[in-house]
Amino acid sequence: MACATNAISLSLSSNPNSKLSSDFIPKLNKPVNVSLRASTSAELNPGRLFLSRPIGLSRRNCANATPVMDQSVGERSSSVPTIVEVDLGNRSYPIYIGSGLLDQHELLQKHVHGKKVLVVTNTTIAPLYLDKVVDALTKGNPNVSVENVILPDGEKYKNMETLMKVFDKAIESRLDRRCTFVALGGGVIGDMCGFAAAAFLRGVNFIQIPTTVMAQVDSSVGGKTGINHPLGKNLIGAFYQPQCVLIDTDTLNTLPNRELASGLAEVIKYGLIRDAEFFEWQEKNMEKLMARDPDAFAYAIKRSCENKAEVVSLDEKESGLRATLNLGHTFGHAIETGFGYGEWLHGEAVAAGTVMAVDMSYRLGWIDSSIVKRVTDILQRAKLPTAPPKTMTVEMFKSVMAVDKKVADGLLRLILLKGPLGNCVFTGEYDRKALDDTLSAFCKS
Amino acid sequence: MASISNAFSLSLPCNRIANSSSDFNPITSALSGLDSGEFSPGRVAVSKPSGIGGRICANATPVMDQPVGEKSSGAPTIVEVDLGNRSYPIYIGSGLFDQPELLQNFDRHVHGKKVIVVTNTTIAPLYLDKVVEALTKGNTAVSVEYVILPDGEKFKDMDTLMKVFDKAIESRLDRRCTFVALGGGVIGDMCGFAAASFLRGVNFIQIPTTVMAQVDSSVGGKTGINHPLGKNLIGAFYQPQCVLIDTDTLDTLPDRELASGLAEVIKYGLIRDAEFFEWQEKNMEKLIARNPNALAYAIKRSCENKAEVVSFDEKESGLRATLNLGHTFGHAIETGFGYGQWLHGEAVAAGMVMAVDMSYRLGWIDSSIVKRVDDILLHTKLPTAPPETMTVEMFKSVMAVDKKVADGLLRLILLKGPLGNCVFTGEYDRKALDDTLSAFCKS
Repeated sequence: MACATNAISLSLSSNPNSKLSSDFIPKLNKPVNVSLRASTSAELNPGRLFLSRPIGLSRRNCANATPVMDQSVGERSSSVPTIVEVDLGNRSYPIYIGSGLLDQHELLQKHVHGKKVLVVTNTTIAPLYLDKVVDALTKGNPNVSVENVILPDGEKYKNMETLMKVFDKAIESRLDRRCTFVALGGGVIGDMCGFAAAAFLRGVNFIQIPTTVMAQVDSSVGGKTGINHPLGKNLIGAFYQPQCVLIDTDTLNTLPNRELASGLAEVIKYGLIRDAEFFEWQEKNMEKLMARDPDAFAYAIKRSCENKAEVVSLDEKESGLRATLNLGHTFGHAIETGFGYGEWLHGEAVAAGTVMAVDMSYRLGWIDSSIVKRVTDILQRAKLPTAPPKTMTVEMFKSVMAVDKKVADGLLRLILLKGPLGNCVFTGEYDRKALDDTLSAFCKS
Repeated sequence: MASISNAFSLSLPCNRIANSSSDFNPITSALSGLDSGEFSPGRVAVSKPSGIGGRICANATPVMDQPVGEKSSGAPTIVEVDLGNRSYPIYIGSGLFDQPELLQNFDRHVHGKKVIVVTNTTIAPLYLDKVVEALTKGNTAVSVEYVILPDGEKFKDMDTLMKVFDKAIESRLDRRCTFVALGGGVIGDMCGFAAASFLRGVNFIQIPTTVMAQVDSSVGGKTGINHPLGKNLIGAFYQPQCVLIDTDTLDTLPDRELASGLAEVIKYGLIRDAEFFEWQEKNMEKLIARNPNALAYAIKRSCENKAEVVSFDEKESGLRATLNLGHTFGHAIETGFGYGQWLHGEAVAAGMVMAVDMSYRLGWIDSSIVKRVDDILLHTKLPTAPPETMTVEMFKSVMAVDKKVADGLLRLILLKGPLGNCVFTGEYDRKALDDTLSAFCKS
């Protein structure tokens, strides 16, 4: 495990030639003045940003972590969970991480305010965890009654028709504005349940209980909810934050290898866009992750959540910084849409998309070849794709990318790497030829 | 026209006939999200430093001294909805479509390059071209798409909403685009919800073309669609960039729709603005005869009331629920009888009569109010009872999914005290509710 005593440091792209200093000194810097305005023309070079917190922890626990984090993460115990806070003022919420958390019913019950709960889950997860969750919600709590709706499993069901089933069930069960929705599943369930909660009666509380790596390291945190449209991913939805996120790492025991790897694509992403140290740790520990070492995994989840929480609290509605979390996603979403929702898992598409973004960055002369190699290597070790499916054409990429949410007034903006590992930019100002060359290089036609 | 020189006054429940143990300050209780117990806002005024002596509580600009409703293309009346840095103006006046700078005010309203106008088959042939022109005149950077939906409450559903998304995506609209709702309440609610959800949220503008939309639904941010089992069960609180009320659009509004909107005008008087109610009693003929000055004043005063309530309690933790007088019963009528059979305002009218009846049974108002409410609705040619096919059971089952139910407790808006005072409460004798329902239903 990477040393947890790394101090907070600030590396910005104003020093493109400086290496990351290897002696880290803990200090409380003043908050960095980051421009969060959506400037399409200017580059946004967040590098590795942090936010000073008066709590004064010396490690890189930038998002209001409580002292309980001194406990070694990942011990298989039902003791105090690790907590990463997502700081959004009076809408702040905790991410609980630990083994056996579904047995700690007070954790969940603390965030349920009304008398009725609707658990939204799918056909794969329901037989595994639904009873446990219902138990956690109702144990010693006779006032709460729990309904559930079980949706079909998979990206291709992340649509309006499936979403209506959630509304139907909620209304038939006479849930009112005091109710709580609970998303129990992976990213598809979390996104759909979140959007249903945002729209039901114009907004009710909800809780995220992610059961995949993808959801635990990324999609359950931050409030992006929604469904797909046939013409593009996540084109309909809402920014809507949960009351809390409960990550019981035991749920990964039943996760298939393919899904596990898919989630690792997002873990790798954080390293590339803002956390070189984390990337280096991943390079050292990828075999452990693939072997599902509990400590390694718990650490990967925690560090991912810290990165995510920090970005979200700085730029909740994506006027700038938050877009960097979309590295590989413009190409990746095009793959998912073009190849067919559910054919490739989201993380697999993101992995291929990351390779394409890296290739383009290299063509632009913004990164050197060592980074290209390190990215390809780590993805291969994670058994993730390093190229799109063979049936993808340049035209398919272009037409889907045209409706990507990062397009502004017709200008396609991308997240590209620039500088030393751990630095990226979000920009519409790049040589279009590089994009064309990358697309041609990766597509047969 | 009612005098606008009434000073601000605060009438609180301590003046009520019935006793209450707690002293309610409607403002603080609205802000503290109190939703149990009674809530009796009466007439609440907010003092605004602009120092206008009239009851213009929502940051009206001095331009309001100009007589409202002159058929001219002069400066519009502006009522501001105060929501801090999300505040927005309601422009009211005749011929506003001929003032392109209002919509195009780029610093404020139309920001990006693409616009999609959402309208329906009735409105499109009448006003679409005018609006497109107002958006594009002297402004080559903006391009306008449009989607024309079928007209009517029964189309206020997910299938129809998807058409808006389909068109927006096919037209490659991005996050910088603006949606424009051009139509009545159904269009406004659907377009607003589409804007709230498209790419997780894009800007939108309301251009209401019915009385219902001009006096109520286009202001305040409630958007959404119906579910077969109930009205507006899916939606979002999502505010527009501005509301543009060109009163000339009422020239083409049928009488039935006009009357429907007047139900909401009457509602404001009953819940919080006795003076406005009295003005309506004196001016109902003029309103029905579509006297421009009378209508313009009614719209302005309605918007002021609405804007004030919304700026106090945007997401309905308390005060805003009072705008729902007559709506619990009314929505049950719309759902039970069939969406679109009765217009929303007709259902609200019947619902208000029922709410008033229940308030009287509870001993909270005297019979003079009951009579005045009946009279003014009859005057307006609005229903004063639900359709005959409504049963007690139909009412109860739809009311059970009303959004004002909290943890199973049905809360209603009832009148209490002198005219102009209401309460939002779950604490009432259930027998009174049963008696009212029985009185108004054949079975």
